[in-house]
Amino acid sequence: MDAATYTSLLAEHRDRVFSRALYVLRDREDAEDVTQEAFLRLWRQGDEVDPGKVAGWLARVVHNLCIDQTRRRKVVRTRFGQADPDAVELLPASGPLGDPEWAVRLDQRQQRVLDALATLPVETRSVMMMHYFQGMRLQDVAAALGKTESAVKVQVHRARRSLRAVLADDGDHDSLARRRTG
Amino acid sequence: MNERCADLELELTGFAAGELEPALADRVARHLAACAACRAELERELRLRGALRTLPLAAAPAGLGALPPAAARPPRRLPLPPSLGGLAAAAVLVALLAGLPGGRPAGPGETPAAFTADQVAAARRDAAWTLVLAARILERTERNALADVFGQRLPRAVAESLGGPAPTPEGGQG
Repeated sequence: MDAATYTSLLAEHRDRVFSRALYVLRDREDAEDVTQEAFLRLWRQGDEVDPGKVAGWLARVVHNLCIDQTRRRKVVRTRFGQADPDAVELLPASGPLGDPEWAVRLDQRQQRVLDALATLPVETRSVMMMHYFQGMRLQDVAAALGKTESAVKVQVHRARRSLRAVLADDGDHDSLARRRTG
Repeated sequence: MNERCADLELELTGFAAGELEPALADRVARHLAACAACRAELERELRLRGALRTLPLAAAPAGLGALPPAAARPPRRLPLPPSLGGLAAAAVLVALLAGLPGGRPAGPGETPAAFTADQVAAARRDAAWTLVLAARILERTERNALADVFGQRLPRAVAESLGGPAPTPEGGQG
């Protein structure tokens, strides 16, 4: 892959890759690391990637990198613990995504849903973001991850059921707001 | 939930996304018309979809993923003399540093393997990018170390020298 092609792909996909990693990992530095590594792999392996399938290729790479990054974080937590003042590589606390430092503005509904999503396994969060945030079709998510479409449907369905309380609560908020304004 | 709900509930995501084949979409729609439980599930699906589909795009930091200058330069065709020259030796060294397969140092009396200009250029690009990654790690380590010194150790040392309790990071008394 030549530098001009790479730079063009970087401009096209970078913010989307970074955003997805940010919403999955909820840590800005981790999201930056994942983005950097994903594009490093694109640069190194770009000649093997079908130009029409770069988005799907990146989606799979980011998915795997997010899982790896979460595993590494768990290892660091296990070895050092959050409260160890002598550990150089202290873990940043996961702050609210609406924090100004995150450079994203979320409404209350989005914040509640993301908080609830954070309780699910990283693999599930990533699949949810591929479909809902990135707008990938379920069959494309399955193809990118080497799964069957049925497996992805089951995963998304179970995740939605896990979020049932917050999604129902969201509806209560909406109806309450309608009653107040009505 | 009856049997038909169990049959169709997995299709609600695809139904909401408009991804179903027409025949299956009709089947789901007919079921929804008759099933309040599945309509409630579809409402939850739509709320979830609405919340995540409209998440704002976060701007990545400027320069993230950008090619280092050395990597962005087009590869030059390097004139490699048949005999071992300084350039070839440098190429071997770069390849070794970059972990290029085949970059084995020559043993005593052995002629080092020749590298093509493309291999040298690739090794140079990898090495340049590896430096960028290393710089990011160093930057983060330095930032954490400074936070540790000024946020934890220094206040603790000052408090101990004054004979009082260490202040908390928020400024109160810990």
